Amino acid sequence: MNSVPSSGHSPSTSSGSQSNARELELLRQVATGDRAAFKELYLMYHRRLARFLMRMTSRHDLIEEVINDTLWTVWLKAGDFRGDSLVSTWIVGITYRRALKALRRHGTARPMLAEEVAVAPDVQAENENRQWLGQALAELPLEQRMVMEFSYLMGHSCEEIAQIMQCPVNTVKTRMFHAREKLRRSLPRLAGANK
Amino acid sequence: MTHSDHTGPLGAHGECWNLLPWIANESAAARDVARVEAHLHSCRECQEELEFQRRLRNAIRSEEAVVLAPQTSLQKLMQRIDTVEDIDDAPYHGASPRAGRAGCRSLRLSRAS
Repeated sequence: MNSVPSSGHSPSTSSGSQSNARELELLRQVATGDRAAFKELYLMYHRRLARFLMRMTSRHDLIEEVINDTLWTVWLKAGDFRGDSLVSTWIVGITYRRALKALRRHGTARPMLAEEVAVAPDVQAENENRQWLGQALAELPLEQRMVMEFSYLMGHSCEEIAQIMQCPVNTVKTRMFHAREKLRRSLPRLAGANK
Repeated sequence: MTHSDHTGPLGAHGECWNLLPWIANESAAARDVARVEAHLHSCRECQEELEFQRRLRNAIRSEEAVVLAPQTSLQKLMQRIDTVEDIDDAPYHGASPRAGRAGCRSLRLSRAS
């Protein structure tokens, strides 16, 4: 029997609330031109945005461009943030839209291939699983893959993903539904590992 | 019941099935957690699916991609900010720095977009 954890990353949890409160405080400082706060926010987001963007492209120059364009927008628009969403949802939404534009502009809207992902070389089976996973994700349509990445790589809720992708919640659920079905078929070992 | 024959929720089972990814990533609202937990007691299919989604989540999160060094990128962005503010820094020294900054930033954003 599965147990369902009662805590997590949702805004209703204490850890999520504390994290968002700190980010909100930094954002308010950034709105006044506080560079130290901006640098802290930048470093806070760089790794998670880079990890996410690496699932969209293998071009490091594009990844850096999108991250800096995103944080540039944050620097400029921090004072306009009204708190309608989590700070992370706002920033990831900017990143997502910037990434789509950059990929269209450069004509490199392709997923990162499994062999381009740096993996731990010590365990062969784990390595193979990662290659299969990378390939299976790469075969999903972009929007389905992004819902999967927003959920499992970034930890966003369904409602947050709808805000990030600027689409209805039901659209997120539908994209996730199709992604799950395809991954179940393409990852039989992972899907049936407990059977 | 199988899930390959529909693309949306069908009753309580379908609703819970659709919520499982956000149970797996621990971001679901408390009311949804409670609803799914109640359903899981009597649904082996959802139990297995939740386990699959948890494995999937763990596998995706454990992928350690090459991470770029942030300091170099940060330095570039700070130089970009410095350059723009050097060009038109007049609003920063006015009677209302925040208002000036906001106006200036909106202008810069439109240039950047």
